[in-house]
Amino acid sequence: MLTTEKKKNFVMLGIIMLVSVWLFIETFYFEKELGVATSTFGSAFFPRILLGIILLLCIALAVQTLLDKKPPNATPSISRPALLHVLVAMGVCLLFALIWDLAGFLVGAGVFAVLMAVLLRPSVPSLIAIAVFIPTAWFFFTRVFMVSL
Amino acid sequence: MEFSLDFLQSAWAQSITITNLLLLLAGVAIGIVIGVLPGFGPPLGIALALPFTYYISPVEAFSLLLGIYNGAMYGGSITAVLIGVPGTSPAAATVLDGHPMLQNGRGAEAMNLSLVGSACGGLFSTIVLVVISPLLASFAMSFGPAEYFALGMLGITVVGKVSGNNALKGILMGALGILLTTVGFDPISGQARYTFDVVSLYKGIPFIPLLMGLFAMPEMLLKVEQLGTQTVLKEIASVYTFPEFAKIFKHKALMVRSAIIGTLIGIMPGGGGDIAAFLAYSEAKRLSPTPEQFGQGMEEGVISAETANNATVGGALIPTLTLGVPGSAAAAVLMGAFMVHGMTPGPRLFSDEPVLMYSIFIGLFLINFMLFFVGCLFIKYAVKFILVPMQLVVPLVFLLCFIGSYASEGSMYGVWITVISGSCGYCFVKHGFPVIPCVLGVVLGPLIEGSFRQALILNDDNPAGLFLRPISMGIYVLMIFNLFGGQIWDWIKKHLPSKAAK
Repeated sequence: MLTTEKKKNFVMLGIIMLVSVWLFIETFYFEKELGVATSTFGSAFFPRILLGIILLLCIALAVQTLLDKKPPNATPSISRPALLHVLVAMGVCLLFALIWDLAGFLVGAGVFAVLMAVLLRPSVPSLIAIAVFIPTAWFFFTRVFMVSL
Repeated sequence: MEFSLDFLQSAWAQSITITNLLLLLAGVAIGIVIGVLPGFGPPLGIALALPFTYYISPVEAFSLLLGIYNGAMYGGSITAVLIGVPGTSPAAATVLDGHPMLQNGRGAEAMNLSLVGSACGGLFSTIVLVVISPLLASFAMSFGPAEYFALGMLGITVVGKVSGNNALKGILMGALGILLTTVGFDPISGQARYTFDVVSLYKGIPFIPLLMGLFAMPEMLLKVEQLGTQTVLKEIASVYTFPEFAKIFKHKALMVRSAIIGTLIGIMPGGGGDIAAFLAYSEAKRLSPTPEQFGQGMEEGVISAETANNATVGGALIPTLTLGVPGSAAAAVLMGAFMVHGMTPGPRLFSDEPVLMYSIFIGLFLINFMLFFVGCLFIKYAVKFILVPMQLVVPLVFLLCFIGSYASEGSMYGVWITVISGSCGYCFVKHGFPVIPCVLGVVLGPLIEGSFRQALILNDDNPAGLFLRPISMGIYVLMIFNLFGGQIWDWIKKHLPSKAAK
């Protein structure tokens, strides 16, 4: 019977292996598209060797996980509310990037601060500090470093 | 690099400017704060500051970053003494005697021992760095692509082995890091790889946004996860008084011994401050006339651990600067700073950028003196940063990451890379896959692929040319010992006595 930690390990290794196989197949396409003659040591050679090593390491890890009698050394498992917190935080980061792309930094950072405040429930002084930080950072980068955020 | 007074004068003139001195000071102070904040270590501190160094000269950039590196290495000891929780992993050994000293009413002494030990350890390793690195760089000038390929592989396997609980996972992450560097134009043929017709991908995966994603975001997401269980410290006693040197320097032999251990461990790729601190601590305990008192508040315990962990800084910079193989996670991030400023760490740095090298040496000496003075003046205030709530720190660090990623690329491409790599990094960390080898893979990837293919071209496509040169063979032997040394030793112990008995 597989433990939860072992199952998680297999899922992770499965994802890495699937991506590796896909990237391995891709190496045949970037040669063909440009019409470069297939050469043993062409630009695809190194990624192929590397992906081969990655696949071998994944298989070795899978065998090790399967044979290991002790539970794998992963970080402690996460509770459901904590996982929800993390997923929401990831979502907020994603939303921030989207809004920044569409409406600019100040709007995106404003939305980010509000959503983070809802998620993390900071104290009033912390909220004020974040509210002060956003325009200050914007001013500093746009006026001092000349990077228009 | 031969000694040149002209270069030294030029480096001195660039180092002793008001701006540079202020940056050194700021670096040390920021580093101490980074060290005090639980879960923030030197690599994260350097990574967060890296995008800001775009806008200053390389000498100033390294002053700031090296100040943060040294300051953070020391800063972790403040919380180790005061609350028994190391701010950084290298300060873990300091807890063993530092916190009991506080409980015995000798907190101020413990703080002073750790401060003076840190500064002296840093100074010692800087002297070793100044003496050894030009010699090693001259030797490394004779290295060809085969040797560089072997060195790159050694770096990945060593860091892969020591950075987590499972060597296979570490090496797998290192390989994934190298794979990321194959995105974009092939360095030899100029052919596009893994670009999927996305214009931004043609220039490859940018280092700083990736670094922010892999280092800072998972750390902050872990903080979000832990916020429910966080214990808030209401009050911290103000325990600081000025150091009494006569009392501290009676341990000078122990300090020298610990500094040697720290420097040697630092030189080994992947040998971190925590290993050095514990090794120096156990050595101090072994040689002490009263080993049974260790763990109950022994001065020797604090001074050995702190001297050794700061001595790893100079030690770690030796392979970083001379061979382009980072000696620690922080040094790997520091290598990114060279890339940001258009330089490649390695032996050529000493001939191509001698003024910068001298400036780094001068900067390190100044940093260790400043560490002492800033430490004396700043400890009282730095301690207060433990009270800063994570509800404030987490959003601010997220914002800093995104701004830094945007600024480094000048477009949203950097921000997207940070968001994606950060989410992946968190999943990796949660499943016990260390991210440090991945960062190292990204740093060493171009060197490994470039030297691999150059070596093949030079040897008429014969792969044997990669392995049969004497220096590269020696490096591979080291690599095999690193990977299988434990098993080989076990085998020898198991089989040799039985054969001898027969």
